[in-house]
Amino acid sequence: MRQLHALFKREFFAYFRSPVAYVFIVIFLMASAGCTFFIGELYQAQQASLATFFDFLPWLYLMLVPAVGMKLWSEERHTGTIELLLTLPIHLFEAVLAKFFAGWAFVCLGLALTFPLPATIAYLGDPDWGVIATGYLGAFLMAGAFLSLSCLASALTRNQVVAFVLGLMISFLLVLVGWGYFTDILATVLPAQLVDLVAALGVMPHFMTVRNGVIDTRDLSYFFILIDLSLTLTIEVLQRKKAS
Amino acid sequence: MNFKSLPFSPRLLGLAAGFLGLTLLSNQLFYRIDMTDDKIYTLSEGSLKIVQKLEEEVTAKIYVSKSFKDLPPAFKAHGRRVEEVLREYAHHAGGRLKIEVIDPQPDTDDEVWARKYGVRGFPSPRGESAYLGIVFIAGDKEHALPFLDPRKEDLLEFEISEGLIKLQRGGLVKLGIYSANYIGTTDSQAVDEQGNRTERAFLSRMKEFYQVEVFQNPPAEISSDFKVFMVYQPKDVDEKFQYALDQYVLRGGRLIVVLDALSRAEVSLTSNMDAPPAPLPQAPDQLPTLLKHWGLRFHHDSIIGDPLRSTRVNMVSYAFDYPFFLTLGEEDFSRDHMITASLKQMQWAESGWFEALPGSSSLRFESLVRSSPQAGTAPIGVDGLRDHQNLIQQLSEQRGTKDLAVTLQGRFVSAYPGPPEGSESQAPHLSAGEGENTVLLVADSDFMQEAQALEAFEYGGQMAQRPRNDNISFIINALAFQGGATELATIRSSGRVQRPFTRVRDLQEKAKEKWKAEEDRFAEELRSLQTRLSELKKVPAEGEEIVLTPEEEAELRKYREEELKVRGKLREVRRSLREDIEALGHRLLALNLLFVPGCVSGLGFLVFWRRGRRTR
Repeated sequence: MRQLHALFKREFFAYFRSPVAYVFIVIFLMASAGCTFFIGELYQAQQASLATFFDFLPWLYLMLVPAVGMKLWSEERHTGTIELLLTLPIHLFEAVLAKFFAGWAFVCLGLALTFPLPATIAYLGDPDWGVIATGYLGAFLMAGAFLSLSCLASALTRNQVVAFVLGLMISFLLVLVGWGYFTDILATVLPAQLVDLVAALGVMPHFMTVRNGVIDTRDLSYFFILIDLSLTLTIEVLQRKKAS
Repeated sequence: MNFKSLPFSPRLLGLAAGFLGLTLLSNQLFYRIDMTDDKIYTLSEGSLKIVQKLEEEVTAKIYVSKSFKDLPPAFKAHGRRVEEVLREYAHHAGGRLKIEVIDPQPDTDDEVWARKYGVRGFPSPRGESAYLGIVFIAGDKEHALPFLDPRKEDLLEFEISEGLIKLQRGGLVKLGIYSANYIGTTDSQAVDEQGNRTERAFLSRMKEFYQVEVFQNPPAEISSDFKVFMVYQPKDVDEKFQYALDQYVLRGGRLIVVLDALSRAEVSLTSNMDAPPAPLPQAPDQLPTLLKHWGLRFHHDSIIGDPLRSTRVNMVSYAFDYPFFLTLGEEDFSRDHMITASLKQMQWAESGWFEALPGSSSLRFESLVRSSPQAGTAPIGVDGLRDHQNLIQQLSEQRGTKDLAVTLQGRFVSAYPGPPEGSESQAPHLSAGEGENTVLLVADSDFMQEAQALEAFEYGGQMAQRPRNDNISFIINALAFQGGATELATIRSSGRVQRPFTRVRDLQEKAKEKWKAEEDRFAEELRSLQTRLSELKKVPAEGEEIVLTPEEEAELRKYREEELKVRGKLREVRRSLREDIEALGHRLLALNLLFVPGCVSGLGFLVFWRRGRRTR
């Protein structure tokens, strides 16, 4: 575990040695604030609630989180440093976890830097802090889910662009299956029980429940199981690549 | 078999199976925590009982126009909430409640079915009909909630639970109301085509839940078809009507009596604010025979004044604390009775009070609403809203807790040996009831009026009304309790989804106050200018021409210029009202859009600049 901690620190601070990290955070912050104020019309709606902010977050994460995850393994494989990494006295799963947690911590840093938004609505009115807390919890879990999928995508290819597109597509698929409009279309061709089953695999219903202020162990289980499965598959893929 | 050549390994299959298994297991064993401030996703005990006792499978079809882009955000938020709350019901129903969400598009079968079920469309800004209603279907029974008004979000849980009860009952409970003063009629709508209110708001609210029949005159006999009968502000009640009430109770009918020592609504209708204040008439003794027989005295000759429960009254040019308008809190309500257990605040106006006459009746007396221990009384005479200091000085020195709403429960015995002279009652005389019954008595009628119960607010560019306290909830709970749906009385007013920007509202209020003062000043200036102008512009007689002297012409020009300036100043004041609020919005936007991104960018530049210096 000491190695995991050391690798985590190395990976996390490595983000800030490149301008990309700062660009990512600035774009995320401006996009989220812009969507909330201009498209979501937060001020005009006159409601002390971050519902519009959390409504846009899945779509922002869909674009930005694969950008964080795309280089996790594909860059290592492309430059050949993965062999060096795997000769270190560290298990593969520790390496996977360390990179994943570092990426997750980086994305969550960006999320934490949206603090002016809750501060703004606290200044303007009397928000429901329970709902805001669970909204941020949902965002934290969703970021982890998308990142774990991007991690898997990154392990599958040496090319970062391919890793980005693959990560985006897998994440988009999981968003789509839980999206109301899509399930309405599915309901015209599939039986209701099957539609419900498909929808339960989607990210959105689970995120929306947490976002609305309810902590349900089913939703927490969904996210943890998804992250667990994605990371386990990542380890499996890397082991196969290593063996071959 | 060579597993290594396969694109997947047995371990992966095992993982996938494990994933599915864990997901299924977590769906069976789960726990939920409602983190919202007002616990809006937690159903009341009453709703849980209702949904757990469903006898047959119920389908709830939610018709909600989700895809209309131009509907107000509050409407969409309410639509989402309706769906979420219903899913919460379904979660506790053990599979007996199914939810279907339908977004009826214009000119489709869905829209046709919505209308067939009774779901009411309302005009969207685009002119098409938008929907937000529910239909409950069980077998061949249906019950529709035609329109779930976002302005009544606090009653959403009550409406859904009531809807489920009505579905199982197969119809609306009949409620009869007699009122000496006009409150509306059986058939009247809440507003007419010109938007004028034609009936009291509480009557409109009752009509949403009950089949209401309004009596303008005391009925000779009260039919047992009425599950509940309410007597509201009775006047000049004779023995025949009291006998009708007496027999109705003995036949098992559920009675609610709303009396008043001083009806502020009636005073407002009949008094002339421009005339010198006249002494207010004392209310007559109401239902004397029945009350005395039931062991109760209603003090109709004085009103309660409670300094610890004063309400701030805003008149045109001043405000004062008025102890005769009572703002009652949780500590004043019985937490043991389902009617009042969930109430938080009520406002009563110039109320009378009840006193149990010990030993005179076997009925059990229970107080539901009380004053504080510092309540005194003042005689009726002076109009407190026009001379509050005088009335406050008349407040009695003797203080104590006063009962404002009470129930009498037990086996009722007739107050009459037989039908009184002139009685038109057809039913055989009953000397006692078969079982126990409960009568609810309330000592104030104004609490049900709009002035005490509702507040105006702007909604979608129009003025609307919403509950400002639990006054209406009290009477709805009382009807539910007396109507036999006791579970409904435990459903509290749920928290609001709407959380307005109070700071912006305060800015608006402050600006309005400033604007009002400025506007009044400028308007007064304008009036005097216009008076002077009209004096100068003399109206000529027929055939004559106006001839002004040069001095008069100069003065006319000067006054016209002044008038233009004052109008301009008025426009500026009104513009500044909006500007302050817009400026606040711009500052907050800049803070969110630029402050932290600016700091992060600055930090990034600093880090790389220092790194660049070090490498050089």
